[in-house]
Amino acid sequence: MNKKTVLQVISLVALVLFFVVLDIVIFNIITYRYVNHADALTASKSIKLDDFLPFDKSSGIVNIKGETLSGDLPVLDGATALFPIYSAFMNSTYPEGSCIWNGADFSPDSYLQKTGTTKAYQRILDGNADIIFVAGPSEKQLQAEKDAGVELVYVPIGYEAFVFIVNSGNPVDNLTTSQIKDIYTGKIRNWSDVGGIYTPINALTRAEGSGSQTAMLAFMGDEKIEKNITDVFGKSIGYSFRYYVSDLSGKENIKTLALDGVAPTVENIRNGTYPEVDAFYAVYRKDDDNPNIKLLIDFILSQKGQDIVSGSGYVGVELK
Amino acid sequence: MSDKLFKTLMYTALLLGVLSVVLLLIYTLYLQGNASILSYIGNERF
Repeated sequence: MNKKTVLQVISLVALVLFFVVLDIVIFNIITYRYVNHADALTASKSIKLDDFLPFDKSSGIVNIKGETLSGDLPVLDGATALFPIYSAFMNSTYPEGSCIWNGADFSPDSYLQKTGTTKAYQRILDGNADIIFVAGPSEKQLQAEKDAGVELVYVPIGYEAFVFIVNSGNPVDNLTTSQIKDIYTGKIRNWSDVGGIYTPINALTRAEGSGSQTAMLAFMGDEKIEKNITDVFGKSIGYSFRYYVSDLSGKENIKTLALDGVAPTVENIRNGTYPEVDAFYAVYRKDDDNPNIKLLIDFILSQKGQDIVSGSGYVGVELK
Repeated sequence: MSDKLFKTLMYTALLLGVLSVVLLLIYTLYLQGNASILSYIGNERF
């Protein structure tokens, strides 16, 4: 083999190696983070809805029987994080067969749906859902309500802690309210400034209209969230609701941060020491004259209904 | 190795290399659409 051929082979091998290394680097830095290690259903639904379906003896929902509704049954929909609650309400008050689950999603004929906060708000305005179980509305959702000429009634049915989350390997366990605001406004951009390792802070946000994004905008008040694209290579902070993080999603390697030195526990929500506690609501149209709506709301606010809320891991309105 | 064969191999390697990067980025974008904030944070390596 002459010298020229050797150089040609080396060039070829170097080119192939360059792309192999480039692919490995891209996968490890960017792609790997998006790989969801849960099964496909969990990935698409965020939680395993199968585990919280009504009329199923092995379901994880709270099983308390109320008076069964008849006649025109309201269609229930809402946030993912609240699914175990409204699934349990259906289990308590609807006749069997009201929920039609095909193994991957709900049938359009099912009186129980789970489209998530943003779509649920739209569906109640469009008349496709009768009661939705959601966090408070965003500015955009209030505007959509006004534009649609629909008046919605918001009935607080429980409370939940708004929590900040990091990877469980992150040495930071506590942040103050002002530190978090400084992180999301770009004033603090490195974990070492808040007691962590020397690496950028990747401040994650959620889609507008989602319950946790609405809660975050309320948390920030007048401060505007600023994102820096290079921070994507750092270690992340995000936010959600306590029960969704701790019990529903089944995600590992996540921990919730104490806020102003107070951990987001049920006890601290109840005794009022955790600083970020938000109500969640049963929402219906004021012009909906279906009598079952009032009956269901009355059940939700009754002792049995509130036992479902607290038994599901949330904090009922009468307990706070 | 003839110059023609070398050029063909180099262009093929270049083409396949670029294609692999493009496919990986498309796959990443696909995953990004389905990923939850929890799995994104949970997958970080410390």
